[in-house]
Amino acid sequence: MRPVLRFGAFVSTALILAGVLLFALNPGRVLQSGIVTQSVPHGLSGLLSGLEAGSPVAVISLGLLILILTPVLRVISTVVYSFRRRDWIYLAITSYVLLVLLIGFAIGAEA
Amino acid sequence: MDPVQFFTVLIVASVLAGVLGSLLGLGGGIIVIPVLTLLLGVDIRYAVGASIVSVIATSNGATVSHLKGGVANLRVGMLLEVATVTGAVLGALAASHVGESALYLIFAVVLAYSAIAMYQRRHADANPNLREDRFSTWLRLGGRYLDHASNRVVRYGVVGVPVALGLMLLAGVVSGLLGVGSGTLKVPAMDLAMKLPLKVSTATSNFMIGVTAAAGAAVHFTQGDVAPLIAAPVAIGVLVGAMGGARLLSRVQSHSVRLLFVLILVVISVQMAVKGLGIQV
Repeated sequence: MRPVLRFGAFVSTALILAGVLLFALNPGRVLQSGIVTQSVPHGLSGLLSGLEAGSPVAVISLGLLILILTPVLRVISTVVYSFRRRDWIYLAITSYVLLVLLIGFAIGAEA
Repeated sequence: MDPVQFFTVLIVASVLAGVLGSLLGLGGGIIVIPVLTLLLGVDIRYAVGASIVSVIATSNGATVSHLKGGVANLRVGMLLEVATVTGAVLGALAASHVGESALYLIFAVVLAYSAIAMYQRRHADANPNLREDRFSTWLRLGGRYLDHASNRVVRYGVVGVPVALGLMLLAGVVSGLLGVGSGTLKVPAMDLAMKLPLKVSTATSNFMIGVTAAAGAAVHFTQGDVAPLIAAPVAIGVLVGAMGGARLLSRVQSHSVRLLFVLILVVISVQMAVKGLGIQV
């Protein structure tokens, strides 16, 4: 489980730092409309178009999204772990948690 | 307030939140939300979004160190996650419908109660609980860990599983609603209801709150509650702080951790009550 966590932490941190750096290089445009109200990418399509445009804010957002996904990866690894151990009760528990997490993402995307 | 000031305060507060959070099994949202809303005048929507991100960052940073020491009890954690995650999704969905004042007040009451109860148990780790209830035996929840401070292996059993699950559901709902890691509810629940050694509760809580927060975070993220320029400094600062804080945990006596925790609970309880009652400070 540890490599999974390290990977997630590393990738998300790298992306966030990259985005912050990009922002620091050209903050003027973004800061004009205020720190908070600048474009918060809405949904996956908003994020993708922001990335295409090379927006530092979008890069940061992607890093944040991966950060949010890291616990999910962790749960998946416990599911696999319990399956390998033939620990059915534990498998049921971890599978349920994973299911609710996925439902959470699905509902969030619709809201 | 100019941008440089803004970001400086934000980062300093985040690092602090990370250290404290990791040490006490909290998500650090406890510190981040007040700083953002009261000190920096940020809309609570974005404060909640940034807080949820910081919660996950803390859980990531601290867990990596804790799993090495074997202090967190993963089986207990995953079982309790069943309840918290369910609550978190429900809470995040209800976020737009519930009055926040009521929430602050309820939270304040629960915190105050936890503070009192925990204060009364502050010496309890001298004799770790060895009993187990039926669920705990069936699910093989008990465990042991190496305590650096006293330098011995401590064995423990687990009780009160049904009560803990109920508390965890509540903790999950609060997490989804307020974006607070609700480690504040989880650690007392594990400590008081399940009678886990405090270091185990703290470490397990750190492991759990990230998963719970992720459940609520998905909803908030796609709703646009996560402002990148606020959430990013918070995430980085908290991650840095959490990694430093986790190292301290194995060397600190349970007694002092508990006292510090009680103090923080009281302070936050008052803060929340003030907000809930709409008193302008």
